[in-house]
Amino acid sequence: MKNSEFLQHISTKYNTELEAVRKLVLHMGGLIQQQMREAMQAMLSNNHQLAQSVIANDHLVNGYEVKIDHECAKILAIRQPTAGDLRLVVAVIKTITDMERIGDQATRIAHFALDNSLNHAPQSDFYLKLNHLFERVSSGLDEALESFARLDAEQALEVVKLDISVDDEYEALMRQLSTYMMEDPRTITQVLNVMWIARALERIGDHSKNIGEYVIYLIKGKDVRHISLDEKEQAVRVPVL
Amino acid sequence: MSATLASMRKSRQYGFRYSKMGLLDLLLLFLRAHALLLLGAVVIGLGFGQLALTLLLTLTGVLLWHLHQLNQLLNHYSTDTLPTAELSGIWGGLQKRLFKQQRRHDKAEKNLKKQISHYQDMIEEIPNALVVLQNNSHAIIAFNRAASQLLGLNSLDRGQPIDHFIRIPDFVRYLNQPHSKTPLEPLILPSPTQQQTLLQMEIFPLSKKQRMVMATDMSHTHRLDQMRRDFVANVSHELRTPLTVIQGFVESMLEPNQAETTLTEWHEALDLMQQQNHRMGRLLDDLLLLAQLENQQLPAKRDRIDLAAMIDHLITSLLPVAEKRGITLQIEHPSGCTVELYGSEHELYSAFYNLIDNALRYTPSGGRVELFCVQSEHHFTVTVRDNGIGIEPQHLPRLTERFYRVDAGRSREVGGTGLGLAIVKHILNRHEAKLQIESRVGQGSRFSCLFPLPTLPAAPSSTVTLR
Repeated sequence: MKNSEFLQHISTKYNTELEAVRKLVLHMGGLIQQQMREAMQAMLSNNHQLAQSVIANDHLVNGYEVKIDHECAKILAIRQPTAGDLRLVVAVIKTITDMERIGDQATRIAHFALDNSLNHAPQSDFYLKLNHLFERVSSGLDEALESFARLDAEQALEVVKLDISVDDEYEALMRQLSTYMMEDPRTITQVLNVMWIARALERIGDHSKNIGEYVIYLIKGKDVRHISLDEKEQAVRVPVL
Repeated sequence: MSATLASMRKSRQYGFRYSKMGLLDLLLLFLRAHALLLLGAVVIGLGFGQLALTLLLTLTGVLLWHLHQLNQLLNHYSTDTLPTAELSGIWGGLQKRLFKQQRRHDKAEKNLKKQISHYQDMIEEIPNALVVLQNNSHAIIAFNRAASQLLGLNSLDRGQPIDHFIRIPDFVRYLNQPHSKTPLEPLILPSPTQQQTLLQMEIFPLSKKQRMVMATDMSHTHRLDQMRRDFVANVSHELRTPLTVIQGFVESMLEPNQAETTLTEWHEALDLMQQQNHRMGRLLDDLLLLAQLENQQLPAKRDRIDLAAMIDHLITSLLPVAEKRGITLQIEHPSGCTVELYGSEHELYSAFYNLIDNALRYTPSGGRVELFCVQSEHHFTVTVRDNGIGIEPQHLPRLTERFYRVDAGRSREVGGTGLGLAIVKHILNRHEAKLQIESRVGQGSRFSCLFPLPTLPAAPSSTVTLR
């Protein structure tokens, strides 16, 4: 499956429809990336205005989801796509669900930014760790979207691998936070908030991983969910006829 | 006649006999040769009584010869090799013409290729990211190396729309603005590859079908901007503090029920006001000095400095301060400081004064501040060492920034302006010297001024060789 393969239909209108859907998905991706970054920035710099704008912009994400869904249904109904085209439509329908959830997680982080109790936390240390987790998750999402744009299965596989390291980091952070709470019960409320944000970031990592798996499905025609990493790697390495 | 001679000489250089002959000459030659041949054939044919057969054989021979020549010519031309043998007659002329044309063409192609590769190299080396786009689809047509670094494009992305890779909503909106003849207002964005890098994006129309996106790395400008803002904020803050104290006293003096009080009752307040006044004055002096140092592009004046005398002078003027704070101030090995330095006496005095003054401020009572000079292979070093509170390692790199405070509260207590080390650094820079800071928390600090040795030897006039 190559990028140019979507542009080989007899009907040029069909080509443009498929391209338009792909473009919409990537634009939606850009929007959720921005939402996520701004939510995190609002949280770290305690910027209420920015947090509010993130929450207010969530409807744009939802709007994209509805619109893309509609476009996909139209293509299914009118064109009855097969093979690669069908996989593209299926992968897109699944991808946007995950992206919409990423948008929701970003809003959740923005809500915590508005919550004042976090201000009194022993900030720098937690923030540093959250920021580090965020950087990883963010680069995972970026790679997932890039692999979709480039139709690069290898890169999609990298996203899956990256999520494993994100999960490890999340685990370590959780353990650390629980010791904090045990040592000083007064910090419990604040630490719980930090935990929720870390949880939101970890969920975003999972959604990015899902997107990576859909991309592998789109390119290789193989469903790689719920199988071991080795099997996934094998699926990616198999050349497509 | 002479022209033909010259042309023949020229043609001989190339090794082609017929090359410079005109087409008409060649044609005449051709006709003459064939006419002679035919005449010969007719004579022989009549002689043997077989005219038809002889003519046929002769003509076949001529035709075969021509075909052979044509074949050779085509061979050379299609394999693009230099002709090994010169063809004769009209074929030779044709061969030369073709060969010349081919050479001219090759040369032009080579030149063009060279020029294109020059332009390509130039575009590749431009530090700004350049991407050429199709107008309506925004498909990437070409981009340079900076574009792959700053925008994260790779060679497989050609032909794909750019907004698949730069997905930032602001950029997508910017890209979709209706085209106009004039370039659009630039847009500032974080780079998709490195979030810390700020890019200024601009779109220019190239032709009817193409546009160019240019991205410039703005992080340096941004950092300078930030520094400028910080500086203004810091200066205002530093000036505000003493002003608030003075203002407070003035306001309470002006209260109506205070009209009866005499000046002596305000003595303590006036004392405090004067202190703050001094502080503001000192701050302004330092700021002016710093501005002066920064604005002077010229190297420092190159007077001969009697270092020993200067240090003596320094110690005598600072000794009372040290005694007041209960600190021992002394020169170690005074004999080491007899080297002659060249530079601005006024500036160096100010630098050493600042260093000792700092050491005295940050050393608790009962401590020691020592000054000593050492000459090594490459440097002559003046060091101020104290056994004061020391500085944590993470602060060391930023210590010479203007208004950088390790501990804001403590600095105000000891009453520095926050500009001392910045001034020292500037002065030393102007003398091609370096400031080296070593410190251990709780054990003390050591500030060394390293003067490079090659600048030390006698430099009698102002026309000193500057490295």
